[in-house]
Amino acid sequence: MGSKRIVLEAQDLIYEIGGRRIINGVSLAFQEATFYSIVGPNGCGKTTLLDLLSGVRKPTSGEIKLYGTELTEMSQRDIARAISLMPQSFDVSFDFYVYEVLLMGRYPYKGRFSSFDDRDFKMVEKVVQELNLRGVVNRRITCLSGGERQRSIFGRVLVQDTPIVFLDEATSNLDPYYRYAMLDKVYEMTRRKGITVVSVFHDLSLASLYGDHVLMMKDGRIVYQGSRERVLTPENIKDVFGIDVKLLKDSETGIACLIPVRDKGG
Amino acid sequence: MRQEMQEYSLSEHIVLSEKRFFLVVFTLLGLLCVSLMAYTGMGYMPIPFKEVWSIVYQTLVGRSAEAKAIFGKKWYIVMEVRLPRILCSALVGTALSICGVVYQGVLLNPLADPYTLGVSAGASFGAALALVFDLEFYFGLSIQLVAFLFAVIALVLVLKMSTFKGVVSPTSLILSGVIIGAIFSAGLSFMKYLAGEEVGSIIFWLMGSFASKNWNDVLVLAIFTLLAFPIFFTFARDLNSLSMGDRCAYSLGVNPNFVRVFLLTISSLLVAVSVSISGIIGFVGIMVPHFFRFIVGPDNRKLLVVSAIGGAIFLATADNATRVWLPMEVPIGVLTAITGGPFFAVVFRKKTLRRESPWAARG
Repeated sequence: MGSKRIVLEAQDLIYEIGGRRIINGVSLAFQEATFYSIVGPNGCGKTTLLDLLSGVRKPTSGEIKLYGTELTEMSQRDIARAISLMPQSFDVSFDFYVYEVLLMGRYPYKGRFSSFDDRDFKMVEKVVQELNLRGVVNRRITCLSGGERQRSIFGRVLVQDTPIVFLDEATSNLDPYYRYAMLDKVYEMTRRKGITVVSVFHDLSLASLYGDHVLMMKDGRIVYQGSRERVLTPENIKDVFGIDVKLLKDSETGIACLIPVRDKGG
Repeated sequence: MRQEMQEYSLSEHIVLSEKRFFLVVFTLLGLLCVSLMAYTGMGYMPIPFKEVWSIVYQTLVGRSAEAKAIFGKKWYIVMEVRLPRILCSALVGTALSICGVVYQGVLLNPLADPYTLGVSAGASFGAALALVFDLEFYFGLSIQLVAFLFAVIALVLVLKMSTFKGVVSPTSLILSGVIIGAIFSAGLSFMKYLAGEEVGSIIFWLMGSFASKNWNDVLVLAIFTLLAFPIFFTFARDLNSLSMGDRCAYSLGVNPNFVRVFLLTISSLLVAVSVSISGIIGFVGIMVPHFFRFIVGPDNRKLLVVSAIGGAIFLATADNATRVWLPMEVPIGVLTAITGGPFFAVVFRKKTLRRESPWAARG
């Protein structure tokens, strides 16, 4: 573990808006080839943290380094070649073909006047194969179902081919098959290509299933972080979310499963 | 099987759509050249195509004196009366159409047109002010200049009003445009009231006209349009990214707030120039981009090129209609809406029914 390179780190991040402190002193370091799960109650600053780390918002104070370079010294295009984001909502305002959306993933690598070449097309072809998008690639994105659209946007993220991938509640609209397929895919990429995945989850079981490392946030701070066994304990979950859960361990794989405990048995 | 029908590869599909695009571009370019030449020959005194060509060609290669000697009155009609007017209408058509593309792309709103941000309201008020108080006579300020100044004032107010800590959202822009527009419209109504008997000249100015345009107007329009177009084109992909939402745009390397303010400023300046020269011509900026989105798709790179040419053809044709084909000069703004509206309605219905579209019911 110790030999892995640190790709993205933050020191004492603070972010205030309208006099309210959304992020309150966050320090972290993300390593390559690792899957990070971020969990926390609504409004605890998970999405804002991703925004700060990817240059969408500027922190009130604190510093962020991407591959050792201050984020403030990098252009948005430089950042886009290092970090891609799979957002929570996927509203597309105009009826682009899905292949056009996929090709947008190549924009950060393209000069303002250059057009796409065979390498870009090959990249898209590969992603279409891998994600089973053959049936939708020649359709318009506005005509797809929520899940198909989400998979197309995920395809755009893969086409962008960055060493760091942010997933913000990225699997919320997907049926179980594609949810696991998508997460399996990025998990496998952390192992095979050494990319870093930072994923915000509402579903604690998913966070536990994929996260090599889990960060638990509350009120703009990271309150617990470490391996899933250390972080996702009934005590911590009670503390952060205020719910009672029971931990069940699968006897074969050793994967922990969280079962909510109801106060009143039904 | 349906699957097999779609079994051509992605790059083939893209090459196909590129071919289609270039076909559309060259067709439109040809159409533009032919129509501009043809319109120049038309009018109260018809001039054969050959003579028009000869006059223009001789003048272009620097033999205007000889041409004048040969063609006499016809030379003046072509070079000093018809061509400036026709080129002005074509350039304004281009300007309004590419600004329409930019406004719709930036505001993520298919209803946006170049007048959404109150530029037209500002310009109208300025023009009315100049007409009522006769600023040209007292201060040497032409109607055009005052209209332009107030258009810029409206734009600055809207941009200032809609920026919150460096963040500019489409909704705040549209709202600010409506508010500032309403204030200037009230001012315009007051000017009309003050004008009393002379209200006609204000109304006529507002409805737009290309009558008695000269080479100066052509030059100003050409400079601004030719400066703006390459800028828009280099930002066309950024506009595509914007349509994925702000956070996606950021993650594709685009700062949406910068792009919005920058492109809106440039396009509003261009609109201000064209409004101050030709008055307010509605419907072009909203119809032309929509029409061509049906044909080449929403990719703003293609859309800009095609709308630029198509807009020129459309407005030049509309102006030719009022100049030549109709028994009396109908205000050009009225004509564009009356002719363009039903045509656009038919295309909208047909295209939407024929292919997958967000507006068509899903089967």
